[in-house]
Amino acid sequence: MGYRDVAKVGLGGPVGSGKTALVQRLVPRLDDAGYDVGVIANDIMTQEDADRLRDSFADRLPTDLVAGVETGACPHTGIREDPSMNLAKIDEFTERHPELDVVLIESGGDNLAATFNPELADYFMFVISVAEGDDIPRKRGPGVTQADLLVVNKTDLAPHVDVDLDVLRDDAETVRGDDPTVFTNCKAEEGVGEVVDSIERSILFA
Amino acid sequence: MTSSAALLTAMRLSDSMLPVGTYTASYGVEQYLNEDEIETADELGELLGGYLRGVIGPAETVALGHAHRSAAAGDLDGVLAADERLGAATLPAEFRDSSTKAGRKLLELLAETDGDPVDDGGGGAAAGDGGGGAATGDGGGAVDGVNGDPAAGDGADPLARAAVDGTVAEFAAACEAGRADGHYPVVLGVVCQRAGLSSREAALANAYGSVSGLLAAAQRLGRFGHTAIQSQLSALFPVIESVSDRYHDAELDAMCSFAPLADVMGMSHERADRRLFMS
Amino acid sequence: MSAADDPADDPVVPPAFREYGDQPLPQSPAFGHGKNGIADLVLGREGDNPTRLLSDLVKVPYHLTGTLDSDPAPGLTTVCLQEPTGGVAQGDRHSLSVEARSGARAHVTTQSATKVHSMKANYAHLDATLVAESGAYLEYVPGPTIVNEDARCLQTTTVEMAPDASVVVGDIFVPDGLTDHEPFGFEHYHSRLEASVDDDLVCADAVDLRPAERDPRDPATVGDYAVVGTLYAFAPTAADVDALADALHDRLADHEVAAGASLLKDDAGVTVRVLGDRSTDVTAAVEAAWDETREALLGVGAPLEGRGR
Repeated sequence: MGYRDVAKVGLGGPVGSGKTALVQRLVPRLDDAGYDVGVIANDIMTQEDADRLRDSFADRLPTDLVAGVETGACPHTGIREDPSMNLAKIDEFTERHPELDVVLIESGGDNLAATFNPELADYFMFVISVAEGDDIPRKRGPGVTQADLLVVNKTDLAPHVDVDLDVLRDDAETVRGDDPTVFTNCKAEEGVGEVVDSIERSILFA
Repeated sequence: MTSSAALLTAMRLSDSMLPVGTYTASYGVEQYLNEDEIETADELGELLGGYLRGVIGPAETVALGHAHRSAAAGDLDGVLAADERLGAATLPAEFRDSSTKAGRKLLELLAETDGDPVDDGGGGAAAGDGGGGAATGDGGGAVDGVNGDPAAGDGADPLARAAVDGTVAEFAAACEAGRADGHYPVVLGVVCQRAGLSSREAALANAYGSVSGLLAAAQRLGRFGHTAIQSQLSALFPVIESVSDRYHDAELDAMCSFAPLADVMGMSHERADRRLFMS
Repeated sequence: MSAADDPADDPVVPPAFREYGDQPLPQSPAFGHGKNGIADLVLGREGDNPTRLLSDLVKVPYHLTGTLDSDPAPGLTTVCLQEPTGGVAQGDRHSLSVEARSGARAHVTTQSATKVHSMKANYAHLDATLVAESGAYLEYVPGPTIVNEDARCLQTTTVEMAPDASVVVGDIFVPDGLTDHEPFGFEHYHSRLEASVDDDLVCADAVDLRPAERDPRDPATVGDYAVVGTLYAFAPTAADVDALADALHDRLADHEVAAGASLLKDDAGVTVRVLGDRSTDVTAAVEAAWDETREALLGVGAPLEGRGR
């Protein structure tokens, strides 16, 4: 057993876009669907972060399937140029839990150019939030254009930050072609089911 | 003379783009900066000079040299002894973890990228001979031995097949089976021997890689300018050279490791409230 | 000197010290009367009875008056080695061997600090071999080793233990000059501790210092500190070494020292490194670590108040 034997889902995106909140919504749903799930968060910086992460899955996952990976102040290196330490962590997971089905790998908050190494993530989703402005897709950052799934989070904030969701939707379609985009409001669990469906369809049923 | 291909391999192995997780290790440097023990670039240089003279030279280079000689003699037990002793000499657990993670990743990487036998007729026979040929040569002779191998001449990747050949593969299997830890300098010693680099050259590659990695780590922690970092790097070259000269052919039993303050920093880092690095 | 005693044949003696060993001593030869101290101790224990000294071979300058059974830990006996000569001189070879048989519990210490005097020729060798059989608990926490100006000191410690034994070793190194108390005035200090659990090497902590060649006062080595202490707690099958490491780290947080604790290779126990300005601070920290270790391994703290150095 090793990292090649499990499905690996990468979640990238800018700081504050809601990657952690999305992971916290995805885990219970995947768990309920019968999958054995592990979680890796890159760039957990403080002990408090690490404790909070572990606590947040305490009723769902064994504590040794929730881990932080420090990336030496290089979040993009950890998921793109040199994913070896993430892969090593997944190997640790599979050694202890050969039944593992899927690992969610949350990147440290980064810029729009961050992409996942295809040898690290079988499925790469890029998470942005409406609060960052409706011009994000138009910038055509590699994260937005190359992700298997674009997640536009915090839709509930759109009226407050003067963002038109239709503009976002049209721009995403323009820059991503046929690749899917999902709108979510993690707080209200809106759209999360669609994300789970996409993951299942793309890599877990395959 | 080192062949061009061997030199290219040395550069490849000491390049920061080698994907073995080096960027996640600071070997205590992060803690020195967090505790304001290191503030100026000169102090950083003194710290790394101390690492070189207290750890990288008398511990890592000694292990690397012994692993290199053992690989040349096809002596897996010698490689395992170097690996065991380096682990026993490294007191902070995080330092051992960073070293073994990188070492194992290098073994895995080479098995993946350089493991497939090249289908060039004579190459198969040469690979078969590789272990035996090296076993009869002494440490220095290994360079000529590999250069004499037609499949490893200029233009060919001297690491081709190295990862599935003899001692490298046996060592990787021993790590996989839990009989060895796979410390990076030991892996590097074995791999460099197979690639036709001398143990002194391997020692230089290891020391350079360590120093540049730690300087880069310090820079990413945000207090030093790029020219200050490069000045320290070049100022440390004579130290890199002298510890490589002094320790690459030392007996394994003579291994020492003395950096108690760095040990304390590494041990404190394990429990640090805030951390960007694994060590 | 017989050929069998020749340190040139002893693999534990590094080449530089073999060369020092060839230098003649002006007054009396190395291994002469009183220079070749030996203490061979064997300790055993029947069931829950106190641990007893089964045999002892002791040669001057070592002196042993008997054992003390005042330790709070059940069945644990204390062996205090005395050394009336007041220090270690050039050409001295001291060799201590302690064997704790199955189930024995013993604490071995020295009456005072070991002063390694200034030298003009040859060297001093302090050797200790600690063997702990199945279920044994053995402590060796001697006083600090004070290495004076121009001294050459070789200190070798070997631990051989069964996986279910425990061995605790304390080491305090004081590089102190006699005249102006400028540290690191000695010529050569080489110390090596090697510990094996069955045949697996779990610790090989070795230092080779020649301050004239390289000043160890850089930020990696000792920085501005003057005294280095280490506590090695070998306990390969102890229940929770992680917790012990954390407890040791926390325990030393309030001391006037820089200190850290970490798991040994193969999780065979914990090492604690301590640096301080003064010998008393480092000694207090190492003894606190010893106390904490005892508490974890035996459920009883160390008799610290009786140490009175």
